[in-house]
Amino acid sequence: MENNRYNNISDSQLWFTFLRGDKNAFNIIYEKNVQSLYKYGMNFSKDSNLVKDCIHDVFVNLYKYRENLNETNNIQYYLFKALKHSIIKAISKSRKLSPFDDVEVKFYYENSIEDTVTENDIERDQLLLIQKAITKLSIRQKEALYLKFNLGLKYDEIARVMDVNYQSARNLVHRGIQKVRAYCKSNSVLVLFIYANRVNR
Amino acid sequence: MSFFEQHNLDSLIRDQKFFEWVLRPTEELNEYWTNYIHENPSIHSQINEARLFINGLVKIEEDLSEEEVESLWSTIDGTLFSQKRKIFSLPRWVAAASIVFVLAISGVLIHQYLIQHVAEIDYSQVVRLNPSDNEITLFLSDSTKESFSSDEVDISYNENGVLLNGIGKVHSSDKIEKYEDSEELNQLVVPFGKHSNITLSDGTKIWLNSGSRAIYPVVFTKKYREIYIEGEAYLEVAHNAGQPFYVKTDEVKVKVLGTKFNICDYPNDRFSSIVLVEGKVQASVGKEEVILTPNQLLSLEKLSGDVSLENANVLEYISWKDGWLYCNKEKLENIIVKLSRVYNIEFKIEDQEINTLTLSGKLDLKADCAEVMKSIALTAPIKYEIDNGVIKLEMK
Repeated sequence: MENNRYNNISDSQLWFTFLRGDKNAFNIIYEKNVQSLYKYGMNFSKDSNLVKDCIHDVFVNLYKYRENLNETNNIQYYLFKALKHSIIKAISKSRKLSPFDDVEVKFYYENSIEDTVTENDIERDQLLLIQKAITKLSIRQKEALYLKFNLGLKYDEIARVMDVNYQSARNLVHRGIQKVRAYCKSNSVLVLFIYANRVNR
Repeated sequence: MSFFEQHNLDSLIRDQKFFEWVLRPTEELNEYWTNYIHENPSIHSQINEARLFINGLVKIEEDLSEEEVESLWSTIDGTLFSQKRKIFSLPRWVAAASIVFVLAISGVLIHQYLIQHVAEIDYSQVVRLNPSDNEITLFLSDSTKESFSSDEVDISYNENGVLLNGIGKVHSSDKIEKYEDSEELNQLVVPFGKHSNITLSDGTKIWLNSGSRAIYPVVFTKKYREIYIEGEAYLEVAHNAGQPFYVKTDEVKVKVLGTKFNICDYPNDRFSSIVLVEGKVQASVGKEEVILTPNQLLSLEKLSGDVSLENANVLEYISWKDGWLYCNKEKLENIIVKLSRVYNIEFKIEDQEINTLTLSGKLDLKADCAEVMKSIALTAPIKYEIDNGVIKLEMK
């Protein structure tokens, strides 16, 4: 799936058409967003069925409440927020929490070691080191870095998804990067001159 | 990693154009960066290091397969549009609920069910499917129930959890001791068109609006008091600092220390809301916690989880408990939703323009529906027609 923020122009038109009850537009919104929603959702839970159930609920509710939605709502951020909300609710329900317990929200940003495949040993060590460094980040730093590097969102977009202001979004990303860099610096003895040609995805 | 000047490497990593190139290279970006390296040959190794760093930060993710995308869509489509399919694609809790529903009818297991699930207010999802013969119904924890044909019922418990006014005579106090560690729950269901009052064993008063449900322990035996509300309720909570009071709905939980407030969370509404009249409450919505002071309105958009806090005229939100509806430039469509609940009547809007109208004033909900419609039609440029229990609205 192509990241749909590159064809934003048609998005607002699509949203507008959907708000007037167009079922085709609804389907296109689903098709355009389902992959990135699924991936984003998989950061909050490793249970793929739970994430799919929540996507189901988000779209059903989106359609149900469409008459009350705002024309200025941006589809993608709106769906992201709705999905995150829905997953956290589902997790707390499945754990049958009493009113005193808060749901411990996790953010699964790290790659598993098996996923870190590269033919170059030095490069692999470096990538593993970064993975280790990621585990030291706060949940919000992880989410900010994920939104920046995996989804390629800009600071104002990260701010909207995470419900913080522009400056906080910037800080989350900057401090996250600094933390990873500092960790790598203090744990690495390697000097890198190797051309990194790992292909993403 | 410390080989190069930290500053340059950091700014490269954060550079939008740079990581766009690393992650989603295009011809244009390739050209730009090739030229850049050509002009600044010393930067070459830094670029490689930054590339590796960014690649390390990218999570490797799996797409949904085409079949998964398709089958997920068909369940969404089925839930929304296909009557037949709906039965098979209902969420899991509905299926669970149907089973319990059958058991409830046979009147055998509901007691055990209630006892087992005391701490989990979540079970309210199950009971919302209970049969509604359109009478106010009190479900007791010993699996008996009592229905009332009147439009309003006053229910009260003494401090031992014994129902007063001759309701639920089977209830005896030795039963309470049996379940001391797992509170006995009662449940009051008020259909549309009716309303009720409850006085709980601790002295807390609840006004329950039309189409609402309250689930509460007969006696509060735990370290905290916890009740569940679906729909709309106004509460005056009895102060007891040693035993905090929690009100839960499907969307919010409110921590209370002796106070008066209104809470509204109807399953079909887009927003949930809390309005504080007196005292102090702390509302938790997902991860967020908000403290309300008097005359503040907290509203939650359920779908996105967006929360907003603003000042409000309390009267508009609580006057329903005294049988009034205060409107201050209130949208007619919102008023109609409220009226349809109070009178259990369906409205049909023939003219979309009606949704843009607003209304100010006071409606007497103790009067019958026709009276109320008459007074609305006097102020707003609309006409109405009552046809087979449906009220049709048109612009004049």
